[in-house]
Amino acid sequence: MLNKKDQETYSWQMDLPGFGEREQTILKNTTALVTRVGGLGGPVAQSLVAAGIGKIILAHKGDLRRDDLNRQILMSSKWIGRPRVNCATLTLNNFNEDIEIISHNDNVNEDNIDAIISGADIVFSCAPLFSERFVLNNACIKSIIPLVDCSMYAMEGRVIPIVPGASQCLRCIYPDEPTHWKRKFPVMGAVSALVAQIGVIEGIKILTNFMPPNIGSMIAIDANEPSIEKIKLAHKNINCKTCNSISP
Amino acid sequence: MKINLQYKGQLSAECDYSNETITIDYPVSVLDILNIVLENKTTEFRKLVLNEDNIPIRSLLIIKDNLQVLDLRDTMVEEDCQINLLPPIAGG
Repeated sequence: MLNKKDQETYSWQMDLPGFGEREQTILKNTTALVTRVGGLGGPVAQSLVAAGIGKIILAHKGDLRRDDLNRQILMSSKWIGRPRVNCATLTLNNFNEDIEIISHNDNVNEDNIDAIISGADIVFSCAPLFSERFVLNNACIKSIIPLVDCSMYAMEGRVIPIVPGASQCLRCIYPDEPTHWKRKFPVMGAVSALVAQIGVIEGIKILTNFMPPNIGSMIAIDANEPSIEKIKLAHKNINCKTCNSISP
Repeated sequence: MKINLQYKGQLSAECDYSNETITIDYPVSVLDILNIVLENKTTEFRKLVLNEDNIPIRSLLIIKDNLQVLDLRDTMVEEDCQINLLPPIAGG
């Protein structure tokens, strides 16, 4: 149930067609996992908190560096050298003190994923490595948790809403681990933030169904043009080992 | 017929342009188009499209008029169709 403070805080959001007290209550009762809290995950977490998500789990290893500051908007130049996940927690709690935040100064991997994902109702994947994204994908498929895969490169971004059992998983789309992907990639912070907002909107659609989420599609964003295109993905890969692990 | 191609992600960086239009006067498949455009591309560009056996990389997304194409050999292209090549990206 929403209290009086919630009613006031989210009154403009609850004026949206199809989005009322029921939908806001769903967000309040939702736990979202966001990995990581950099250029993409930072604005994802911020917009989830602004939208009134009840609880957020953050996972990101490492300390803030000066060269993070062109895009990692939850950080501050005063905090260089401090753990990024602590900085993100502080910023998000300053923004909304009612949100419960659990932070892990660690990146997800096969050993820690079960503990980190525990209790999450939805996952936003914003990791810069495919290995990490596949760990999240496998865990979400196994635990039947919706996943919003958000990625970017230079002036482009992609958002893939994944609902286990109902849509293609990340392994259906990328059957082989891309070997050409490099850890360092060109980033403009405004582009990663743009991609993040599309990801959050898709996540809120999945959670509340106030509008149909774009299941089975990839949203491709190109800030060069600019364009936002909805690409219909091919059917689920019947040979996908990840999907087949949950199929009857 | 004219076919429009867009190279996304690392592909546009590899060839310094993101759009290309080619004209062909006989029926062709998406796979044929791929082979035609690769004729004048760099080795690095080709590595983002083909594996060591010269087969299109399975994780490269090939999009025809906003639909992902898996069957490259049997999907034919039509006048003015748009083919986009999207290599996988994971920036976060």
